[in-house]
Order: sequence, then structure tokens, then C-alpha cells
Amino acid sequence: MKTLKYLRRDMRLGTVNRAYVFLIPLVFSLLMSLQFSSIINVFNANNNSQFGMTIMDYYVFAMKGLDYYTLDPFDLYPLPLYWFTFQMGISYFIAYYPEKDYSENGVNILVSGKSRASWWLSKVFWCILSVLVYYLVAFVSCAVFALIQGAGLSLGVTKEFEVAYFGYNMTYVSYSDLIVIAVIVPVSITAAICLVQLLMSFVLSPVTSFAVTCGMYVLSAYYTAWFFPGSFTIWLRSSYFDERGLDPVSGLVIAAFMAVTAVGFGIMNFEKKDII
Amino acid sequence: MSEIKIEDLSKQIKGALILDKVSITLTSGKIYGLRGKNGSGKTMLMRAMAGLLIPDAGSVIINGKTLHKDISFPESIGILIENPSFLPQYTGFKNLKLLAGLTGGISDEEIRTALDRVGLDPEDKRTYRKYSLGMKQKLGIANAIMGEPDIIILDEPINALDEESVKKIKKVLLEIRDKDKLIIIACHDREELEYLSDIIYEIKDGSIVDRKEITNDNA
Repeated sequence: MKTLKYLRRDMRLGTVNRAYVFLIPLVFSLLMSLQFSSIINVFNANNNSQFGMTIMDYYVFAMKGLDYYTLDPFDLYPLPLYWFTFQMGISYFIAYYPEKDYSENGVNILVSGKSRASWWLSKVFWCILSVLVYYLVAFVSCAVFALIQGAGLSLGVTKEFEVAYFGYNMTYVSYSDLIVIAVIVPVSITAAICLVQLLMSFVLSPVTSFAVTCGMYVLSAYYTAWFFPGSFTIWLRSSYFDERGLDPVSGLVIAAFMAVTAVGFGIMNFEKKDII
Repeated sequence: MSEIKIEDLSKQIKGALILDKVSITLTSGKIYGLRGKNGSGKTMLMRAMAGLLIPDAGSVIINGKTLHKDISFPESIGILIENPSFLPQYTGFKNLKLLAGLTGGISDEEIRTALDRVGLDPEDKRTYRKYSLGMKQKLGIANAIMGEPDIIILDEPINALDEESVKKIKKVLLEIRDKDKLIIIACHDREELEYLSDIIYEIKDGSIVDRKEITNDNA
């Protein structure tokens, strides 16, 4: 009950009052959808085909990320800006509000709410909800654009197009696999990264935690490995699609581990923290 | 009837001993004054009583319940510690309403009464960022007294207040005390502290060095 009271306040001050950040997934989705739309047109024209596409095709394309990259000093590999900006958007959103709320209003709100653990848990739920809303905005934006482009209102994907565009490997990725690797794993891992960042913003500082998260995402773009969990937000680097890629199940396990660790350490930290 | 019992409370911060084996018992129906130089430990002692500071040794027991063991914070408390901090984009009323929402059981009418008692207009549409220093201080006091909690802790409550406002606040605090509430005040103004307090504790280097009962015509 106390956590819910805190959460209501956090949703209002931390989310509604800062809703402008959700322009990032909106713009990201529109740009990716525009790109996808022109790809479909060229593809249909070149192959004399008429793929109608669905809203899910648009979303899956937007969230595809970037191909597996093998370190090569002669291969120039520019930082994938769209993907990076999308991930940085939610990290920025998470970075400052909780610590600011604590340092500026902590005395009043903690004494009024009378629970350190509830205050922290509220921030945890706020963080997870923010990630969900962020991805939801991206999905809805893709869906609206897709519908305007005449796509079907279906959560299924156009398998023939996916295989033709993404390649032969796509044959082995079922629809349910795609939901796991393109929807569930990226959302879970982003939420887990945000929770760790949330904890770091108190233990270190918001700026440091944001910088560390940025660094981790940059490294994830260049080096696909479980210890750079940003890699799991890129479904093209899933082992279901690329044999060198990451197992999505391990992504879920890592996300769960990160989340439990961040929540646990956060409670321990706040129960013993002086509010000065 | 409220009671704060502090037993051998010690606290170090960054190697500096800020509270040194403090032992006092405070009971309701009285105003307790804390006096001491800057950095003597007054504010830290208040923070410890409010549950904001985790003791290194000793304990703070509120109505038989030990802080950080049985409870995280006192169950019925209002505080103003150092500079009040509120959300700049909201009015005074809205700020208190948000905090009352966390506390629970405080009506809009009680919020309006608290604002009115300290000399703020509950219907004032100005946001907190447009408040003067004195108005900010009054809002901090209104926050501490709204709903008339059993324990009220005020650190330098009359800072930045004009003479008339000081009179008003003193009257309000005495009224609240007479409703069997426990009030703790730290104040640099010796005269005002002696006027308000029933008992004054002198703090030096984190220790209680003197206890003085005040006899005046406020009782």
C-alpha cells in the first residue's frame, strides 16, 4: 500500500511531468517505419511482388538492431545511431529523476511515507513501468504508421518477406521465437539494465551511472557478448538467427539476475542509508 | 501520550563523531529546546529522532518501538529540518496535498487549516518557486504541523520570518503543545527558545552538556 502511494507520486512526477522523453521512441519508430516502408516498395518493385505487411513486420524491423559485428580494424563500422539513441533515451529518462527526488525531497517524502523499502520498491516499479511504456510508445507509433501505410492489423509477421529480406536464417525463426527475441528479451534486458543504472545512480551518481550505461551500449554495439547485456536488445544477434549470436534464454536469466541483484542491493542500501 | 527515549546514541560521519552517547527522554505536553553552536549536533540529533539517521550505537525508542528495528520512522511525526524543500512547480496547498497523500488520513480541510495557521493563504495560486524565503519557511512549518502529529521536530523554525509571523508561529506551537503533543525545537535565538521551551538541552560536540527547566508564563 505504501509502495503504491509512492508509485502514484512517481508516475505523476517522474513520468507524466517528463513525458517529452517519449518523443524519442516516437521519432525513432517513425524514422524506422519510413525506412521500412521504402524498403518494401523497392522490394516489391524489384521482385514484382505485392507483400502487404503487418504492423508486427514494422515493429520487428524497427527493433532489429544491427548485424553481428566481428572486430576488424579494416572494417569501418559506424555506431548504429538509431538503436543507440533509442536505448539512451530510456537511460536518460531513468537517470536523474529518482536521485533528484531523493536528494531534494527525500526528507519530506520518506518521513511522510514512513518506509525506506517502499520508497525504493516504488522506484523499481516506476523504472519497469517506464521501460514498458517506452517500448509501448515505440510499438504504437510503428503500428499507427504501418496502418496508415495500409499494413494489416495483425500481430503475425509476413514470413515470406522476412525470409526474403533478412535471409535464409529467418526460415528457422518461428513466430513465437520472434516474439521472444524481438519483444520479450529486449524489454526484459532494457528493464534490467535500467534497474542496475537506477541503483548505480544512488551508489555513484546519476551522471556516472548514465555514462557507464552509455559506454556499455557502445561496447555492446561492437562486441556481442553476454557481459555486454545491451547485445540482447538486438534480435539480429540472437542465436536463433545467427549461430554466433547470444542465446535469448540466457538473456532472460541475465535480466532476472540483474533485476534481483539491483532490487536486493537497493533495499539493503536504503535501509542503512543516512538521509542527510 | 508520546515518549522519545534516546539511549547512548552515538553516530560518526566520515570519521567525525557527531553524536556521543546521547541519552535523554522526552515526553508529550512539552516543548523541548535544543541549543548549541553550529555543528554541535543539534540537527543530527533531530535527524536521528526522525529516523533519518542510522545510529552506530545506542537506540531511539518511540513509544516503546525502536527505530530501524521495529519501525523505520516514528508513526506520527512532522518535521522541518534545515531548508524546507518542496516541488517548485506546485502551489503550497498542492505540495502539502501530495505529502498528505503519502502520510494518509489528512484531509484537505486540515491542510488548509495548517496553511492558515502559519499565515499562508490556502487559495494562493502562486507556485512554490515564486514564494519568498519567509513563505517557504512557513510552508515548511505548515507541513510539520498539518494533521497535528504526536511529535513535531522543528529546526530553526523562525529563520527568515518577520516579527509578526514569529508571534503567530509561537502561538500556534504553544496551542499544539497544550494538546499533549511533543515538540522539539532548535533555535539560535536564545530569547525565543527560552520563551517557547519548557526544557532546554545544551549540546556541545555531540553530547548533552546541560539541562535547564524553564519557568515562564506560557504554561
